[in-house]
Amino acid sequence: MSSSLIILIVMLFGMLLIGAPVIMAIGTSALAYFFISPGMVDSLMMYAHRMFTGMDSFIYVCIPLFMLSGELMARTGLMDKIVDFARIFVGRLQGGVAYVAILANMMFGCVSGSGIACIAALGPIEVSMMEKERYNKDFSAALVATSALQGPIIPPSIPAVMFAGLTSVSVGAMFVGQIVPGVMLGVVHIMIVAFMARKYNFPKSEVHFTVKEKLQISLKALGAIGMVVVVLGGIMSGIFTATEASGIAVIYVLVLDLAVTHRLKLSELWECLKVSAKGTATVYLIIGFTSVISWILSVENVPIMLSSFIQNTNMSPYLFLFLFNIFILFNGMWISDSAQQVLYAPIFTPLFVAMGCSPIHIGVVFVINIMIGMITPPFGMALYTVCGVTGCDLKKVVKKSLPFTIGCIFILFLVSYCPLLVLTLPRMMGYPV
Amino acid sequence: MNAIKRTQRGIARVSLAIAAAFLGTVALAIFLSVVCRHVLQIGIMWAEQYSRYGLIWGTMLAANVLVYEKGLMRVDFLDNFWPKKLLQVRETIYAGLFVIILSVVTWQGWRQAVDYIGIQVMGLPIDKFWIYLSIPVGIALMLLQYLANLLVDFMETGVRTRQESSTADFKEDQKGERP
Repeated sequence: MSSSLIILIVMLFGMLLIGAPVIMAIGTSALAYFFISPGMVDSLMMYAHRMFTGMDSFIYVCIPLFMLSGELMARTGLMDKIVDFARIFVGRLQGGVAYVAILANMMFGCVSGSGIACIAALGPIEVSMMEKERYNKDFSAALVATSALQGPIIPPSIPAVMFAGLTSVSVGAMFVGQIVPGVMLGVVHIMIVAFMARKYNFPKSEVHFTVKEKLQISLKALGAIGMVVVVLGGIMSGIFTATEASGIAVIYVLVLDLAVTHRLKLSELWECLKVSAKGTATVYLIIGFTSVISWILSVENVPIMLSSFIQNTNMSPYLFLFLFNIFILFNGMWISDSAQQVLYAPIFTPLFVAMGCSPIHIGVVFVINIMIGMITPPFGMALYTVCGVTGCDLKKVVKKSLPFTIGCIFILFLVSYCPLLVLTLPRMMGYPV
Repeated sequence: MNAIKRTQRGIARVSLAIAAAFLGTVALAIFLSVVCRHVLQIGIMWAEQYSRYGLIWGTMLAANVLVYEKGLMRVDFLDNFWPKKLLQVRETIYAGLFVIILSVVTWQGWRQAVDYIGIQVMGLPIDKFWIYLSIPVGIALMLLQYLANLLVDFMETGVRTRQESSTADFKEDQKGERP
């Protein structure tokens, strides 16, 4: 490893640690490499070129479009219907509202690919609902943040699309592979809430629905459920690609609002577009700047160095997977999910494939791992977002989210060492995994 | 100072509006391409190219809004543990670094764009220059907003310091402790 690369890595982590904006830390360390590394300053144009090519991918187009569809769903009131629908099933249990939050996040995950969108859309509704039922506000916020991780894991999933784009694996296979782990995460959260409900005597919901009301609520939620069918059905049946599905999702919500809900004003649509444009800029800029470092890593032969290290140490895939998980979990505390994907997916995936692992399995493990990074401080985007929308104190939310984080890490290692949990469904659906 | 703020707001508004328009039209283009393929049995090649490049332009235009609103993602969890003076030093270093990066990328992005003059984009009747121009334009706008933010912050801090010191003088005069 050259001294320039070591300086790059030290600078990157050092700057992130002392609170530099993410793109500045990534951009500065990459730029420093060009000036420090002998002869590289002549290739400075590669900086702008790599930045552009990093962002230039048709598959990434679905990122802003899924963000937009999530934003539109929140404004058209589809979220409330999802929450009400979840309430029919689990609302009457002890700790019912907490279960509702988990179920609603799972359902929202089926129609949007972003955890942050999930928190922004459902967070205020769920936290105020739990507050009304006398739940601790910090606990409510922690539950919303941690259960929102299912959003990007249950398909459609933006990180899965990114992974597929970076490693040239099937998006459909990634989506199908993530269904079981996503549901398992939800189940673990439900189990933790069930345990807490008994221990801390969580209240039972006093809201009661008649059969007629239940039917009405189910009918109103049909629009959101229909979106799952259209988006996932379309991708899995091969009618359209994931990117096209995201465009369809946007138009679907708009048509649904025009035909049924009538809640979206033109000014609100414009606002949704503006919010999503800013969200897109955040993600795309990180992808663009990180692509420069990703290119530097390949120029420095880091994948080859890692490969020969593994061969020389005769490392088993199990141990490598363990170390990989620890490494990504540690990185998740400092680096954003999209930056991690661009940096590490192209390096590690071929190594695992060479060791006989399925790229789909590794992809799903990777996605779950980087999503856990969203709830691990100091750089836990989900924690920041939930505190932003609810006004809770970050430290208290972190403390309350610990049991759920441990549950997520348990699922991560379970999925890591039981590939069948990921690969069975894709195999059944005929994907070559 | 008001003129700077107005200009900043104007740039942010216009660029965000264009970025939003790009996003909306990309969604429409993608929907249209699916409809054309399945209903009219024709493929529209420009939809893919337009979506890719439209979103890059949209991103680069919206980027300056993030700078203007000071909305760049950062790990500020540990900021509470820093002494105030050190924080100021850190922010000054950041400012210098950010200006350097943005200037270099603008310059290199422009060089890259110029290299593509005369080379046409497949499926779209335009030069690649216009596509690659997104990088220098977007980064230059970021730089502009960043410098304007620095200027506004500097001037406001100066005004505040002057106001604070004059208020203190006034109070001390009231007490009659100073001539």
